[in-house]
Amino acid sequence: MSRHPLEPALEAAVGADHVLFGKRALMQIAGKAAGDIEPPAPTWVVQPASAAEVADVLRACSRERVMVVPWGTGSTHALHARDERTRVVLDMRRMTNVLHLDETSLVVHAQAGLTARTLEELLIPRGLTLGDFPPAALGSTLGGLLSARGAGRLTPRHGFLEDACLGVSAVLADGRTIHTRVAPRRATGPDLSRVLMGSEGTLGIITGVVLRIDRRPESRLYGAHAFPPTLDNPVAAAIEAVKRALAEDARPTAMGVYDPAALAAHYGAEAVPGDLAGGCVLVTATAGLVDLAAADLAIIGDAAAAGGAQPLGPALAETWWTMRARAYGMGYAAAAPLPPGSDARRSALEAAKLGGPGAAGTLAPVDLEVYARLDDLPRLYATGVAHIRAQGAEPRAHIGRFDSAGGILFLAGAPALDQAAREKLADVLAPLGARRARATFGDPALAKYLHDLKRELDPHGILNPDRAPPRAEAA
Amino acid sequence: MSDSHVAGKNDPATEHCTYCPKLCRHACPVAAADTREALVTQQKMQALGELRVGRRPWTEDAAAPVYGCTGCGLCTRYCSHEIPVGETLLTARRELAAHGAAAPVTHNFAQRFAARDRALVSALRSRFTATDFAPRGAQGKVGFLPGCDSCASEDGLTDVERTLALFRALGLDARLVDLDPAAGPLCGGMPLASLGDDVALAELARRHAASLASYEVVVMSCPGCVGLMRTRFAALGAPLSARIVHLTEFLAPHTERLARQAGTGPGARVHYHDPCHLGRGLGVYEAPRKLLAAAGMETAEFAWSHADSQCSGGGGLLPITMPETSRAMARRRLGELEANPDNGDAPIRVVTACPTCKRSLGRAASGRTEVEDIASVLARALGVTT
Amino acid sequence: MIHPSQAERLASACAKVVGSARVSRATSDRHSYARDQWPRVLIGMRDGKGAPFPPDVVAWPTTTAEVAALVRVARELGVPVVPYAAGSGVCGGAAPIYGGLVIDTKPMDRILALDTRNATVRVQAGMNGERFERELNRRGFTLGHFPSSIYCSTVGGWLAARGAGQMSTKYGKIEDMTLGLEVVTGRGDIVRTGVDGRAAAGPDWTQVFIGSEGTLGVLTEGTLRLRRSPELRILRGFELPTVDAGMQAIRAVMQRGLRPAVVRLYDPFDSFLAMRHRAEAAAAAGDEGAAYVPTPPPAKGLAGRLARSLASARQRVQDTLLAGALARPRILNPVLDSLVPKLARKGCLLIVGCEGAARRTEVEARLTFAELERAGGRDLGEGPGLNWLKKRYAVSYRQSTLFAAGAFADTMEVASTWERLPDLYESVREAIGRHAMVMAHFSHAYPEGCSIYFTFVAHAPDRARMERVYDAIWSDGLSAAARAGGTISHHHGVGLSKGAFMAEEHRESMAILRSLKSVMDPDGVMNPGKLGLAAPPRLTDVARAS
Repeated sequence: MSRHPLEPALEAAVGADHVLFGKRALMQIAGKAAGDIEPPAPTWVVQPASAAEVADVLRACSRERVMVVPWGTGSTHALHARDERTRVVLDMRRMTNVLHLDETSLVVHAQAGLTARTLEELLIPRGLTLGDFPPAALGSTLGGLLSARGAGRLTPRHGFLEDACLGVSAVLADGRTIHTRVAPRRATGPDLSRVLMGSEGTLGIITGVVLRIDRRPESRLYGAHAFPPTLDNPVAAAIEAVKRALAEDARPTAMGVYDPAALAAHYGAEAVPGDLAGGCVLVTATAGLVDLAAADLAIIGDAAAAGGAQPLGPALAETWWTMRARAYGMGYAAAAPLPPGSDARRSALEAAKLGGPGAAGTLAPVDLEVYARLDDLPRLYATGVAHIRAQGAEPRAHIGRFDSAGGILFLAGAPALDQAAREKLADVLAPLGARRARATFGDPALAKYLHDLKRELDPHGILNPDRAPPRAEAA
Repeated sequence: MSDSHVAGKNDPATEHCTYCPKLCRHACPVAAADTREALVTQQKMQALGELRVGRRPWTEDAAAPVYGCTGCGLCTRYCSHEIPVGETLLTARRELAAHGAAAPVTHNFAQRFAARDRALVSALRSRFTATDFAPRGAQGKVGFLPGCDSCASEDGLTDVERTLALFRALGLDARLVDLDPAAGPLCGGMPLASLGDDVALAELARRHAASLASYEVVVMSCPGCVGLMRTRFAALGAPLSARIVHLTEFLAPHTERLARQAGTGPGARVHYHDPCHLGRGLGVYEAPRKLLAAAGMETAEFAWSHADSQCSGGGGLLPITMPETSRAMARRRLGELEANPDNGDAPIRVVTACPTCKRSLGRAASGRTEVEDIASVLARALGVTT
Repeated sequence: MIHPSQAERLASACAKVVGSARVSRATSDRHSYARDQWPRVLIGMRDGKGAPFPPDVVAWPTTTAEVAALVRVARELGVPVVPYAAGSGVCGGAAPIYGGLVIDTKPMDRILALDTRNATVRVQAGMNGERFERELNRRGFTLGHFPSSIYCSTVGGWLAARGAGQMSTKYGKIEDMTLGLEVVTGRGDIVRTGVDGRAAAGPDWTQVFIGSEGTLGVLTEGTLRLRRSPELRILRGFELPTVDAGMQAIRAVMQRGLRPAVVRLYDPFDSFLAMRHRAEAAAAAGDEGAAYVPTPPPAKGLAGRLARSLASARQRVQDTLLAGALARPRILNPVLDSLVPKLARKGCLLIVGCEGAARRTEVEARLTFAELERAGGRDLGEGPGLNWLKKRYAVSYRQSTLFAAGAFADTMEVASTWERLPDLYESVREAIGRHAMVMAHFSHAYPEGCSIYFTFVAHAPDRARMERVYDAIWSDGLSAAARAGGTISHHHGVGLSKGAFMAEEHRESMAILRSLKSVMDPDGVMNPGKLGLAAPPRLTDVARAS
């Protein structure tokens, strides 16, 4: 087979060692679990180490009109070609340097291939943290996290992850390199980094991110409240308590509403308080200065009590908090704060990574997650659970990732729902206000603008075309 | 500092306004209802300043913004320089006339004003019997001089009738000023002051001084004219011997008696509209509210009330110079109540203490909203409507 | 200016959209839209120049559909469209520099929906700030957005320029409280952002249109997040020995996770003025300060008093210290530096305030004050805080006095991360200080940084030299800000005056801005020449010729 003209250019850009070809390359980066990935057309995996190398790769691909798919740790769907176009998979995972850690401003500038979890591991020994974002999200690369939008990547204490992003570095299709300059806020036109964030690599490849970070919290406090089945609608009462607490300015680090089945599935039958069938539990973690954390806990406690809940004490919520973190290999992040640099800290970190106390646990799988307004969540919960039961499965559900406007409902069945059943469930919930992540591009009237913007920034359409807005909407 | 920069070739008020970032924008009810930028207080004052120093030609178009003011005084409340914008703009209208830039509708206004005043006096004299008027010649009596906008309609004359009935019911010996059937004068002259016509105003003041000479107290329902007669007439060379009081000031000492006579009423809910000249002008905010409460009413408030009250659109001759804008102001004022979810779909009652406000708001009232005069409302509460 | 025959066509086409009563070519109307509050224009006006940028036609639409139709009309004729509401911007952003059509959005000033359960509001762009806030207060809510221009600015203007209020440290800037927008694009389409919220794919269009200053389209409506009216407000003054100590103290508070509503640190000269102002205020009678409503004495004939206050202001500017000093700022600023702390016998004043739901506010205030004391702050009690609250919009009123007295004043608001902030402060202060008397305060604090608000006053013998001084201040000041790694604007926007510095601010990212522009407004009709975006040649050629 003769050499494709692109290959020498790729090798010149990143070095021959970092240009891999074909099925073997895909299998190698996707790992065993990915199954069989058979590329229908010539496919390279290219592993750049810097924005400059990314720029060289894009210039070459632009010249040859070869499509480029950025890849981090994300879904292996991205590796399955949808057409017979020649492609370059841009494996970002060599780009793992922290470029600048500003401990005065609490700002970190890191390359996009670094996973949030790895970054957190680097921050912790310094007494720093990304913040208590949902551990489930943090396994992704920073570039991946910020390239795609997600409703639930937040903690009421720190806000949304993308709001913590003060700027990005990126490379456009023609190899132009962009660094948005860092300022806490500015009033100099549109937020240009927000054009790239959320565009899933279709307008440019994010090569670096500047994130606001935080110090490790001084304290962590936990609380749990049972909304008994004797209430009219225990889930509605729990959501109302969440809403009231947020309106009272509480800034917990996380809150979750669990039905007994979900509680048992995730945290063991012993986690479920007695006679809760038909009711639910609100678990809460707060953090920060101890008086503030205590105030937040008290505000939430009062809101729950006003809704008819009974206090359960902190143990259940502490279990929830630590197991949830351990499940994603972040047990250390959930641990009580320790003096920076101490041996105890280091060994806790090692333990979390290597196994032993604080090692990775597992959580029960989730079949469908949807985002909805707070007001819509109780009805969605009831409808979803009833639908799963009607399909002959034992339903379980929890609700979390709350912001002042909405939250995420996690639904599952035992036995698990198959793909068709999940889609059916989503169809049932959609008219009631349930939204799935990235299912739409917002107002259809804006689609043509996104389409045209892509044509402006990527005239040959080489950047991740699979995620560009569908043509039908772009009419 | 070169001469070109020296302030003072213009008067400080217009100059300050010229350099101001329009900080009373939220306060001007004219600009809120009619969003032409030329009607923002700052622009009106800048226009005046530029006319005066010759940067704008004295044309009707260039001068038009100067008419876009009702003299309500709310802007001054939000001016840390306390610039008397209303007074400045209203007074300046005589300069427009002198330069031939006056709005055509204001031409010969003084003559038309005088003719209207005579017509209203004769309407008033023919509507009421001799016993409704104060006895001629007696000294130390209390006379009632209704606002001219009350005398311009049957509805307004009914308010006058009820005011007299209210006086009687409260045992107050106050009757209509015994106006000269041929010469009046009835109106205190706010319309003339609104065009800065000091010549006609001085003439009117002299006639009032003569007409009211035998009264100790003159009660007026029009707060604008109360303020004018109290503060300006002396300066115009016609000091009044009588004490001029507004109707609500006159009634205030009798609030308790009113309460006793009214008994416990049905507790109707009314919105009280503070007339600009009564509130910001005379500082009377509580007396009318207490009177309404004494008569068993629950007084609800506009969003902008008391010292923040918004003009009904009736002042400053705006109904003549900019009738559309004037109507829009009144509609806006009432629209707030109609849009307020607290009021549901229930009928809305608005009470005010100024015939001009009543007339202006009344014209804009929808079927759902009724605008009433305070004396009429109080009289009805006492059951003495006729 | 466009050709008169074209203006005629434009006016009659607009009249078909909104009715002839809502379109004007009258001189008085055109002149009233011929500038915003860019102080450089006032320098010229004082010298007898008229307002410099009259549009050719003004239209007052009442619906979004009308706005869209007007944009299409202008687009067909290829004439500029400048959205204009209250015109309170200080950067020339709303000035119709190439004439054309002004679309005044002020007739669109209604609250469309107030969702009290979910604390959100849909409001039209032309809504006046103070009127809006009061209506929300009446319903038990606050937006928490208190720019000193709140009396004279609109929701649309806040959104268009990425504004900030004085309590942004708790409530955020306008972009932090916006959930969605309705926009008429430069193509004349009506689009909504924020549909499906963060669940939607693609760029966050809300954050694209916020700050676009009319260059991409006309903002017609916003959906904003509200907060309940605060149950409790606790204010304090602290005295910090130095600016540096003050910065450290604010940083410590913010990085502890505390979110006071207000944090303002005045540098020594600004502290001196703030303190003197306080003394004056205390001397004046009537201290009953209504929080939202300033209560100056009732209106009366005050022309005499006004004249006196002007005379005394002029006196102040002209007196030996200042008159000489304003012309020789290089000498003045060091003199003030050494003199002012002694005069005032004070260091830097810091105003801090917490507000919100009672329970958390109490705790937050206690912890915040403790943190400030730990950082070397001396508690001055609530007096300075209450006084600030009462006088918080007063600063804008001083502009008239200064201009009437023959000087000029302006403000420059820059921001950076904490690491760069001391350098940013020193560099910009030094750069402006070459030309003007300069003072600064630090406000709008974030865990990662802060904004600095420079106020400068200068004077020159004639208009030409005054404009040169003015331009030099901006050129030197913004270059210094960019060199120090700060942003050239935290909340005033770019408009005309900072356009030349956009390339330095965004560098290669300008490519994205230019792409957005060509996509949203392919004919370049939307507010041409602003935001550092070049106007189409057909407009610049006409402008050059006239």
